[in-house]
Amino acid sequence: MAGAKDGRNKGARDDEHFRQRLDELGERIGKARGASPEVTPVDAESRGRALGQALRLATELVVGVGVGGVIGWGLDRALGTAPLFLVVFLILGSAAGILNVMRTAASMQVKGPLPGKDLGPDDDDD
Amino acid sequence: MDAQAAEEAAHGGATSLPNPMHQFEIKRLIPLELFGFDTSFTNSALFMVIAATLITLFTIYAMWGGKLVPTRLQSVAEISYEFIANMVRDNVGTSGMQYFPFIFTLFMFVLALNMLGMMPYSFTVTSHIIVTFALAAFIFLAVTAIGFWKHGIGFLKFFVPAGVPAVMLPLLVVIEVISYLTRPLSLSVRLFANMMAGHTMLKVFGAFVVALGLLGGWAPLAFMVGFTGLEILVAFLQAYVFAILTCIYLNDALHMHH
Repeated sequence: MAGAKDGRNKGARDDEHFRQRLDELGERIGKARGASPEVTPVDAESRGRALGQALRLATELVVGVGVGGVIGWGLDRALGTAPLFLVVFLILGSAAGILNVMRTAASMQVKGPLPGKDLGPDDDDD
Repeated sequence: MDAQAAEEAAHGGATSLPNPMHQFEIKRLIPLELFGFDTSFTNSALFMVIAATLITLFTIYAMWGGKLVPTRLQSVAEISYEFIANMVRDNVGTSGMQYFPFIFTLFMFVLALNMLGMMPYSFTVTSHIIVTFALAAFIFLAVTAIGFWKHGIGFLKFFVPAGVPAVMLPLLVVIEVISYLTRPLSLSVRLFANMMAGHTMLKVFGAFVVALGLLGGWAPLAFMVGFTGLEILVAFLQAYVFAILTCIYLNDALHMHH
């Protein structure tokens, strides 16, 4: 009987000891965290992503004009109507390029309320 | 120009800087001609074979035995699988998972080519627009075919924007079609331009280090160390963008909304 009681006491003491050590460890971790300056590992990554997005928007615009121009040039060559279709399709190509840029930019938008607005960019407020 | 003069121009004499475009030169390793076409085995083809072999060996070796608690190599393979599987699931939905093997292969191939290009003295296959355009054109044709296969002639409705007055429709449909046709080009130009611009920059600054010597070469060298890190990030990011845009195009074809 005495042995069992001793064991329980011992277990309780171990528990207390363990908790004390845990608290100490927590304190030490807190100190170490406080000592080292706050690092932001996302910085280089977000900068790389921003560069990628900028390049993406630029190519979308240029490629739209380019494809329009090539289509117009091809139609002119086939029908002998130079420079009618080249002019028309250059303009249409620019429109397509801008459309692409707008779609790409919309897909890049953060899905959340815009500053000064209570609705996300994809929500309709009517 | 004879070969020696070309070689000298490429590596630069004592006075001129080395040509930064020399690294993109295609060399015939095994000259070959089939049906009147030049089908030589080039350095470009060699690096494609190396990339495909590396990916195959890596995935087979990493998953050999397939333990429940993965080894380090196995978890790399598992992470890349899950990365692409989540990408496909998020962007195309579960119905897109039947195209997962293609997207995974595409991503790993482009990633391996980009990363192999980061090794000194190697050749960057993706810095040639004909390679990236062939990849993008195949994706474009396949996705369009899938669209017509799933929706029949109704896929053409994809080019008709909703809620537009009938007068404006002919103009807007033409613009939508042009916008659709730009996809293979913008996909290929983005990858090719990123890789070529980065590698040209690296070579130019590498030449500065040598030209400025022990005294002034340290500044461009420090820049190059940072820029090499950025280039590795770009190599990964462009492979990722290539794969995710393929997913988005596939989603358009399967579910028909912008």
